[in-house]
Amino acid sequence: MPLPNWTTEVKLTVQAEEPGTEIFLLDDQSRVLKREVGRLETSQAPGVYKIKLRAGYADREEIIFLEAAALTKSYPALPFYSPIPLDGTAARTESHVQAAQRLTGAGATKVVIGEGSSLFVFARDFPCGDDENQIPLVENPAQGLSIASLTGETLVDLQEKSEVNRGPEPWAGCLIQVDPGSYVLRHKAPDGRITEQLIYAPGDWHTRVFLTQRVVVPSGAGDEKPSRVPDVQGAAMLVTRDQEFRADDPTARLVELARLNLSSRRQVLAGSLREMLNHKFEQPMLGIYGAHLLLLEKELDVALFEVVIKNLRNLLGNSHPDVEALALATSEDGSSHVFNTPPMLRASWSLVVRATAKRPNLVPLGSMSGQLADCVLGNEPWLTWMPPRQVKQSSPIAEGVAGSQLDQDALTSDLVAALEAFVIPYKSTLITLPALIGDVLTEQYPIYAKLVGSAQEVIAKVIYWINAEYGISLEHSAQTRSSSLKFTDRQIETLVDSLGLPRYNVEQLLNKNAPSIHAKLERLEKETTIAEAEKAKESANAAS
Amino acid sequence: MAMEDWAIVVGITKYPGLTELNGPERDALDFFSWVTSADGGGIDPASGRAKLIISSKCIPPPPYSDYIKAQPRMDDIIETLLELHSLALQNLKNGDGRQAGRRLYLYFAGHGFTPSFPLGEQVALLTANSSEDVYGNHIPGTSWADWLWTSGYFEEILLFMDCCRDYKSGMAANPIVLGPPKLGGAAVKKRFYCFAAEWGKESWERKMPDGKIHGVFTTTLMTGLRGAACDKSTGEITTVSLRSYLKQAMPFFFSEKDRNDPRIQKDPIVPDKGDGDFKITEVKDIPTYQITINLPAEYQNKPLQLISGSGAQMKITDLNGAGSKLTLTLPRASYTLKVKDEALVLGFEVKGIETQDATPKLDN
Repeated sequence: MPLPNWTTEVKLTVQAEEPGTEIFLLDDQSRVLKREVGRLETSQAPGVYKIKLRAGYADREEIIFLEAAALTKSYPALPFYSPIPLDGTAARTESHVQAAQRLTGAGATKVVIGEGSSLFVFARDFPCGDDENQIPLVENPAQGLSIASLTGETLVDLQEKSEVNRGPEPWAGCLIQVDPGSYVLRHKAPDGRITEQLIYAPGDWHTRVFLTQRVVVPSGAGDEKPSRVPDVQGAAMLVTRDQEFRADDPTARLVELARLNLSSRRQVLAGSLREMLNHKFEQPMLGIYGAHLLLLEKELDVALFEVVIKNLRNLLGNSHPDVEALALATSEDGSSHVFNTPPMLRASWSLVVRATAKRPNLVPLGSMSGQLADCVLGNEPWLTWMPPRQVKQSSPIAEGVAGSQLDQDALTSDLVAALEAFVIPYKSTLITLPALIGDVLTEQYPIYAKLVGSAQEVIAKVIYWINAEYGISLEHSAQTRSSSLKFTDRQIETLVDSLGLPRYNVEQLLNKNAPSIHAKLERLEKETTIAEAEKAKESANAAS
Repeated sequence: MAMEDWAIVVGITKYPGLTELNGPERDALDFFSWVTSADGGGIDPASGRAKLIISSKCIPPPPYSDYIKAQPRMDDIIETLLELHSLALQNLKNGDGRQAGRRLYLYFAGHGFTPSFPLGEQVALLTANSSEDVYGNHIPGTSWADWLWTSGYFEEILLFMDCCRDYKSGMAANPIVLGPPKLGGAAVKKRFYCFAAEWGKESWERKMPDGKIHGVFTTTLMTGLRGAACDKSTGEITTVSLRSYLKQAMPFFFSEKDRNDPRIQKDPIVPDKGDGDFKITEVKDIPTYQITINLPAEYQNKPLQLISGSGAQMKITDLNGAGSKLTLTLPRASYTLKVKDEALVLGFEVKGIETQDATPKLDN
């Protein structure tokens, strides 16, 4: 029998059952040769290879010998982790599936506060082998959760109103009949800290929110033990036509994979998943996540993106805040929607904020969105915030710092000086932000360390980065001194983008300090002129 | 003038204003030990070119009454970075070009976060005087590495950050005190950055087989740098071979429970900087690992072939599969075991992790 030719390439096909699965082909030393999503086709020289599949954080590997004949490998869906007890996911428990089905099924008990849409919130907990920590499961997985109106009024206390099972796999579920529109999902932690996020309930659709618990480790060296609280940031959402929850819904798995990929910013739209977006899809959250994943790609497929937006508007109408935010991605005139209330996703919020650089009226000053813009928390994929009143209460200027009585005006003055240093073009070397931070603020005000998160200081830093990154300096001219600081559009866009604040909020911050900045600028300029004149005089004297 | 290698190694364990960590100082010492060893980074420890900043060496040392007093602080770390700036300027003055050295290792372990600005793949190390309200006390590791790279102060910059990467809204990275990057410097500039966690996620530490707590990322990194990540043919540890090793091996340094927990991200982030592959170090003896394979019945007492590599590099070795166990000593790689002249093929991997290599899982 003739020996095979080990250099003639052989066809290899890898097919994942689930279109959202990433597939990697690696050589025998684990170097990545090829990556695809859903299906991988390649030709390689015969030899030893490794196939790796990944969905969420679940993965699977297999080592293969590619011989002389073409090889096709097929793999079932991976059991990734989801707060939704979907079939084939890692945290599916039968008791949770049955409870979610019963609570959403025909004849299920509802809390009625409106009509035309429904919200279902299902929080659960289960043993997950935290042997090292021994953190007991919660008794009521909906502890601290409530649904509130946009004005802050509690509409449904989920801890009280949910049906609760306190068994070995505890759960709490509540079906609420609501008017279509925006609501706030609020969580009050045991320490009193509140976080909120928006839930939009479209008319004629059923919105389902699923939560598991997360472990909270107290900071500092106190005796307080770790505890489990609803994981609002890790919540999953389905928006369905069917009222009853279905654990075997294959599209729901794709929605979850898309959410997981968006939260870790993995670009995984390819193959049949991409085709699915290009055609009619019946699960709006898949379209919303998918559109955001498209925006993560190096080059936006504008045609596909527009198809997705069109499909989403067909499904949800023209007032869904996340869809309208997405419509701003390719053109700031893409939507006429005014964002008095924020969207659900953080990525959507970033699109809105960015668009305000050119269309400030998108987020009116004083609106709910404008007020919470300063209080947004950091995690993906949901836009979560602390209520503005809570932020004001926990002002960073805290008591008991080194026993000093803080002179707020003087401190503000120094921060203004820091800002001003970068308003002066680089040719001025009188003062620099680093010098201020290092020598003035820190030494004079130990409390400075507590203020570094303040908006003013952040602005100062961002202006530094504008200069460092783009090599431009901020304009400062006689014409701009009268009432406010003037920035170019590009500078405003950068400030808006980096601060994550709508334009009106940025301008408000900047203009508040304008008079003192201008006064000091004029004084510094005068000093510079005098210094330069003296220097020139000295040089002339030395030369003569 | 021949340029030399430098290292700045930081491990912060004591954070009075945040949760205390256990691994960073031990891990920093481990990295420092490697980077100053002749068969590792090769920096002479007496040269002063390897800087070590760890909690216990601060004056005064921990414990501190509150976070405001805690050390190390930003200035402690920035000072060492500024020394490199001074050196570059001195070299320029001496006619050697504005370059500080050939290679710079930056290793940062401790609490960390992702700043909101500049945008992109940014990671910052929180210094000891940080708290839940005070994230401004930080060293933006990626910004510093980028600044030094852009300014050409080194030909090669290797940045390793064993820190969490929670995104912090509205918290811009601290400015680089040197102002905008310089133009010029080294003609050839390459970077290799590794982060323990992906955007918005946490890094992990756990008790390792030595009975002590280490960062999972750093444990993998050090095992790789000490030889496991080398190319099995050349013995070279390159950026590509180290990346491959870190990606594949790190999950196996988690506990079995965590490794199987689909909620946890288990591989590090090694962004492609487009600077190509380059050699980090070289091991004299390519490490091998003894493994024992429990042969399925159909493989027992038959002529077997051990296959590795592909194409022109494919290697087929005849073996005798006597009995139910087959013991082999092999370098780290994927292999297949084939019954000669039959279709039966088993795949297995030598991962370069001793405890895991004893009885590799078989693929069939």
